[in-house]
Amino acid sequence: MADQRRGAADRSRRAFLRTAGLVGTGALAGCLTGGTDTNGGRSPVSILAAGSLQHALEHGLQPAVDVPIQVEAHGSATVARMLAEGQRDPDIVAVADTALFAGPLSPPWYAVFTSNAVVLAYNAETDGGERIAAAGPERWYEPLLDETVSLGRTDPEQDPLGYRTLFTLALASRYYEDAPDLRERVPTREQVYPETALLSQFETGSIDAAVAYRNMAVERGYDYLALPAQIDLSDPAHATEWYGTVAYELPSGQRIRGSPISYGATLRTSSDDVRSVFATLTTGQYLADAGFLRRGQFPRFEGTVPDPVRDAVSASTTTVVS
Amino acid sequence: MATETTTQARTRRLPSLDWLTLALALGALLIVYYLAPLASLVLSASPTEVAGRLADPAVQRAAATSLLSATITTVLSTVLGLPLAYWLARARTPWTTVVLAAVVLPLVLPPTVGGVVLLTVVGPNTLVGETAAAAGLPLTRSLAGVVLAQTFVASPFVVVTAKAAFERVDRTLEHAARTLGKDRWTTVRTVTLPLAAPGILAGITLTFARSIGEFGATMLVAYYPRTMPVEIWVSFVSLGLDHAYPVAILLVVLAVGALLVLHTVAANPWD
Repeated sequence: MADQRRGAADRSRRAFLRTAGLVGTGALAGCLTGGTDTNGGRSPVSILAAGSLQHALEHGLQPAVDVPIQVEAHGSATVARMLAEGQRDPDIVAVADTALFAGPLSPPWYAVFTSNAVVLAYNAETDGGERIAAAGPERWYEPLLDETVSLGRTDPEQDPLGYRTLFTLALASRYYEDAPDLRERVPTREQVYPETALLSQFETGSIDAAVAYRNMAVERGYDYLALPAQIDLSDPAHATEWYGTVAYELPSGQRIRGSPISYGATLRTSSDDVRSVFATLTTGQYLADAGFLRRGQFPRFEGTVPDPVRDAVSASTTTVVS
Repeated sequence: MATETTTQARTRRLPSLDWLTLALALGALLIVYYLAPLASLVLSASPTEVAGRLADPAVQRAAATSLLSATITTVLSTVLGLPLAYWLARARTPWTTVVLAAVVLPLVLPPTVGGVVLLTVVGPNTLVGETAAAAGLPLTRSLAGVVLAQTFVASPFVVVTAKAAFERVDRTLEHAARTLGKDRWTTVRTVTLPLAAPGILAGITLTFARSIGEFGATMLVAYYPRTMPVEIWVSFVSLGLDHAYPVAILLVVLAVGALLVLHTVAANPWD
């Protein structure tokens, strides 16, 4: 009796294993063939991009082009390092600071395609956040001087948002008549988080306010204060009189001067598909929808742009305008 | 039956703490610590949201990639890891200590560091990476890359656990089999493996669980095809925690389901 039962159990186990094996093999075959071309044999255009572009590219750019794209996003400095060390070989590179194109990456040409702004995001559900909201765009710095209000920012040694935060604080001291030296008084070591940790802390209510890019606040629906153009680093019109007056020195000794936030992109391979994606990437409406600011003249080219790329981009611009 | 009743009666007469109850009380604290974040995760997204994300083709692809890669990793780790574990448990040479240290090394390294180190060996601009890519099997941004990353991080679990299980097998039983004329392989197959099975299964479970949750090394070596942890990361980077929670819940459901299947299929396989 027991033997019979065991026999039956064995048979059903074998049947199960056989089925599982078949399903597994099928899935494997599907995955191996499906992994390389996801859209009717057209190979995707790969984009290595700054983290702040992730959502806009995947959910804004992808619907606007008829070529499948593969977006991989990291911090801009990581993007630069991965390319410099040959760990990635994408078709298009887009970073959050064109300074990286002058430094480690140095492509022969690039397009400056959008700007962004530094904003102060606050958590309306905490007391500290409420105080910032009540203070408004003219007096937001006052609650920050109070130790009970916790501010989060990113590391100036690690990413551009970190030192741009310090620029904004320094410029604010000049812009607001009664403001004390904010760059001296506001920053403390405990405020510093890596960008992703900063957002988690902010979203779970552990900190009252965070210095962020405008597009982050718009995409994620944060409450935020827009700051005056003279201090938010978004407007090329204030480049020399305001932004250029502040600077930050990296541990490497490199001195970074304040400038309008500028996102840059360049091509590393050239085909019709890549050029058409690049044209939409640098001109598309998706950028404004995602909360990026385009106050200046975009796209603007630096270096010698290959003619086919220039043609593709200007064709795309014309379409958008008309 | 009668004995049971007596024991129950005695327990009732003496309500003092027996050590098993105490063990449970202490353990319960740990269980609560495990389950509280999980409960908060489940409560943070509505079932409709979770179902909505399940309909997203990107999430479906990530789920398939995760299950497939973790399965391949587990099979690979077991096939290569069991012989190593057996050798570690049985060989009589001081070298076992050195080899064991090498096995434990990936557990010590933070996975991101593991990923960076792996890239220096299998990255696209290395000899190995170039050769493999030329042969049509790129080792980065591919399923192979996911499996490589997961194997590096997760395979030590099955090796270390199976080694302990082999060591607990009574050597006299193996000796008996050998004196009865069985060769080493037959002895391993019919005596050692069945006796060590529960320990080995525990190791396989750990390896599978670690693989399906692997993120740090996978993100650096592969990123595409996306696994569930990478998809969670992308969701978080795109739109924040609220967007990432439903995918995280799906990962938990997927992993628990897979582990249940593993245990149903593999429990006492020599029974």
